[in-house]
Amino acid sequence: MVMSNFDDVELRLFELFDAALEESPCPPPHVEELDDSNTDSGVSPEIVSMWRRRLQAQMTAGFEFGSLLQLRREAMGYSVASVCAQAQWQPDRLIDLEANRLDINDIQASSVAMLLRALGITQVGPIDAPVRTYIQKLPFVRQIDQVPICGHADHSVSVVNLPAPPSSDAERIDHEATARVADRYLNDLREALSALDDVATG
Amino acid sequence: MADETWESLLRLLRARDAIAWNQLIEGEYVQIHSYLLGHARRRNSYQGAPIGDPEVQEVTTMLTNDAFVEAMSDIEAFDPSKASLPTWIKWKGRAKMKGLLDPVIRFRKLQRVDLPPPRRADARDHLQGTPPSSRSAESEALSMISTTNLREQVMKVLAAMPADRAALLLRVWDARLDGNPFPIRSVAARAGVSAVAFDSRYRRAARDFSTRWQAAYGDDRGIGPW
Repeated sequence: MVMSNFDDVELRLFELFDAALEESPCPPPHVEELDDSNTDSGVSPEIVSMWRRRLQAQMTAGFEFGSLLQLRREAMGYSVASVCAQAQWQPDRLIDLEANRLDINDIQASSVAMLLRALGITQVGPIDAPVRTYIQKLPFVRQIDQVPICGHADHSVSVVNLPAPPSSDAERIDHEATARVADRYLNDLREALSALDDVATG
Repeated sequence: MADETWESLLRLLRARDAIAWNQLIEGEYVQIHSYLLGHARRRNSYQGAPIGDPEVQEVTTMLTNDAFVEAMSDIEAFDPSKASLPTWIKWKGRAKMKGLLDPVIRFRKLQRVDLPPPRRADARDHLQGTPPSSRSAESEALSMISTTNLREQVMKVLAAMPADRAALLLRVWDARLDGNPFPIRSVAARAGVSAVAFDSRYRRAARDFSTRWQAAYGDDRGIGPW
């Protein structure tokens, strides 16, 4: 057996690790010991939160709030009746919510908080994006058409220069108003969840 | 995560419940992103920092997001007895650096030293994040099988080693992979140990790996005694 220099052996050993582990989808044994994360990356927490919220929105994209709650309930193996008993909800209202037919404006945040808690959801972040999308369906966050007043006093206005009606519902959404309503609702929800948490912890 | 630990969410995560994944992201995103950002910054730094920090952050955000999305689709493969879920996701992000971050660093480095513009093929490779390759599908498949075998062999030897020795070896390799020119000194400093004492422990760990490797697979890789 030929004796080698340590540096050469070390080089070959790391070449072996590179080939085997560099793109491995699973961590090697004992890698937990490597885990020396420092959460202070120097990036503003608001920016990191924004990135986090974008990923969360991506994870729930394509699902409506009610459908997500239904999937959650089913994944937990709960029936409508058992969740309703725990959250003090009427079964038909939960069915309507799961079918995305219930206007969120008709449900108090404290009531939704009880439902969320029954489904093991104690923070608002995970449902932020679907709640915002759901709120866009509310009629009062849509823009009121700005139709000029046509009358004898204003001779410049005629049928010809009236603004064209919006071509789709999407164009009619008042995004600023939606964001304000969503912020307010999510804030109420956060407070209600926190109040329930206080009750639970005594 | 105050109430929702990854362990308590695991059943729902395996059912790919989107809200459960968002609960995991809520609790673990900052730590995982920060871990990957640290590695990405070091990797960039040791190459002379050809890309600016905002771009490193942007690529890291892509890596983090990809790691979570991939973890969601591969969740059946996760074995909690081998590593925690956050570590598993971090590793996924880490494994993607070679394909996502390294090509950007290489490309910027070429641009910075005012070399002639890259050939068309290089530019395409940069965009796709893959190295140039003219190998056939058959040889790619063979190479994938051999990498998988090699991976299993290395993992087996590491698993048989005492945890502290394997971890030490992996830690130095990890620092070296980031491009650190003084991995031992740097890891020793981070661990708060003198470099000389650390080096001696490190050599023992390397000898342990080498002995076990030879006993199991022979000396064809040149990881012989010294």
